[in-house]
Formats: sequence, C-alpha cells, structure tokens
Amino acid sequence: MTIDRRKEEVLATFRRGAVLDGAVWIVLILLVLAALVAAKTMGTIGFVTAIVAAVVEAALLALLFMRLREAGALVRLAAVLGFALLAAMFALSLADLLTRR
Amino acid sequence: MSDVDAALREPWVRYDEQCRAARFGMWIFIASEVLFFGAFFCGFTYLHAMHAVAFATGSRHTGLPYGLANTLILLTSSLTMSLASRAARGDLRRLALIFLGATLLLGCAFLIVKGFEYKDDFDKGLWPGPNFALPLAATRLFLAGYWVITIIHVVHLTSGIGLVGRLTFAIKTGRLPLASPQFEVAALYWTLVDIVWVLLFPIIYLGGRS
Repeated sequence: MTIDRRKEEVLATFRRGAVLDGAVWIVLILLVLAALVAAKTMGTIGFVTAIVAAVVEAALLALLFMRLREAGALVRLAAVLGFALLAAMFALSLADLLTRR
Repeated sequence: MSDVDAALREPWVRYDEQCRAARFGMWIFIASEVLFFGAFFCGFTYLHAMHAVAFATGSRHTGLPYGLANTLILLTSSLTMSLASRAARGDLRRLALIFLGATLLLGCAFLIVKGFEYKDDFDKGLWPGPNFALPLAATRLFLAGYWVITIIHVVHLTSGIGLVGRLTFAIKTGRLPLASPQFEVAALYWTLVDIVWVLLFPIIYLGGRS
C-alpha cells in the first residue's frame, strides 16, 4: 500500500469519527435546550425532565466521547462498579426519606 | 524509533499492555471521582427534598445565562477533545494540535465566564455570609452547596487545563509521541469534568424557574 493511499484511509476514518462526534454534539446541545425549555415551562415535571435529560447527556458522553462503548470487559467493570456503588449510596441515604409517611 | 516504541515506558514491555493498564487505571480513578461527586449529589438531593421551597428560591437567583453558556462551552470542548483523540489515533499531528488548542481555549473561556458569574453573585449578595441577600434561612444551604461544588469543579477544570496544556506542549515540542496513552487519559479526565458539569447544570440553575 502506498503512503498516499494509507494517508487517505486514515483521513477517511477520522472524517467518519468526526461526523459521529458532531452528530452526538448536536444531540447533546438539543438535550440541554430541551431541558431548559422544560424547566421554564412545566414546573416540577419540567425540573425532573431536565434532570433526566442531564443523565442521558452524561450517558452519551461516557459511551461515545469516553469510548466506553468500545472498551473491554475490565474497563466496563470499573465503570459499572463506580455507578453501582453510587446507586447503593443513594439508596441507603434516601431510604428513610423515601419511605416516610 | 517508531512512535509506538517512543511511547513505551517502564515497566511495560508491550505497548498494548501499557495502554490497557493506563485506561484501566484511569477508569478506577473515574469510579472514585463518581463517588466523590456522588456524595455531594446525594447530600444535595436530601437537602432539596427537606427544603424544596428554599432550594427553588436559591436556584432562581443563580445566573442562568452564565450556566447555560458554560454548559455549551464545555460540551463543545468535549467534542474538540474527542476529535483531538481521534486525530492522535490516526497520527494526524497537525489536526490533533489544533483540536487540543481549541479545547484549551474553551476551558479558559469557561473559567472567564465563571469569573464573571462569581462577581455577579457577590454583587447580588449570594455569598452565605453576614450580608446574605435572600430571606429564607435554608437558601444559605443551597448557596453553600453551590459555592462548594462549583469551586471544586473549577479546581478540577483548572487541573484539566494544566494536563491538556502540558500534553499540547509536549507533543508540539516532540517530547511526547501522539501514540502515548497519556493522550487517552487526558481525554477521559476532560470528559469526566464535563459530565460533572452537565449534571450540575439542572440541579443548580433550573430549579424553580417556571
């Protein structure tokens, strides 16, 4: 394979990745704006919607910009462990509050 | 010497093992950061449930335009960091340096906007000290949380700027090859700092807005 041909292939791979990243970025911006509109117009439900939108944004960033989607089992395990411990922290801390009458 | 050979460091004898170890180590660090920031989010959620009206009042007084601008800036910086990482993978040195430079500029823009926001907050009496401007006592809790977590975030972002700045300098001067796993580690850290902000944005700025 000639050097020029190899360079073209590398550039084509970069372009494909850049288009994917650009599309993800547009979705992220739209989610932020949707959260803003929801919080300004829908009261408590809008605020909850904004938090859900933020969690979706965080998941997109982790999966696509942090390449968790392409990562091996060990890296995924480390990521899942962090979030599992976080879930346990929330569940144990808020158990009292959520079960009060 | 190839780029891969130049990137190899002791004690590793194989480049792919070095990369895997760096990635795994960074994700362990990220898991610890998730718990560090998670403790704040958990405490804040609890207090929000106990003092819903005061927290909505506090949130309404924060600078939404600043918060929105900074969210858009950081999301764009994550895009440029991801593009820099892709360029580095393809050994596209010039593109990698351009996107790293853009990431640095956006990081500095965030700090500048945050500086203006802090000045505005002080002018409006939102520092929970002797001349605190808001009437409800529990709004102090909200604003105390706001200052603590945003300052911690700023410290993280400043560290990120230092990390990316050093990386850019080392690549530009040829001290570090593009194949170095330091690139991926820096990109992971940068996006983590963005994720924290993305989650802070609705909690700090969007409560009590309708």
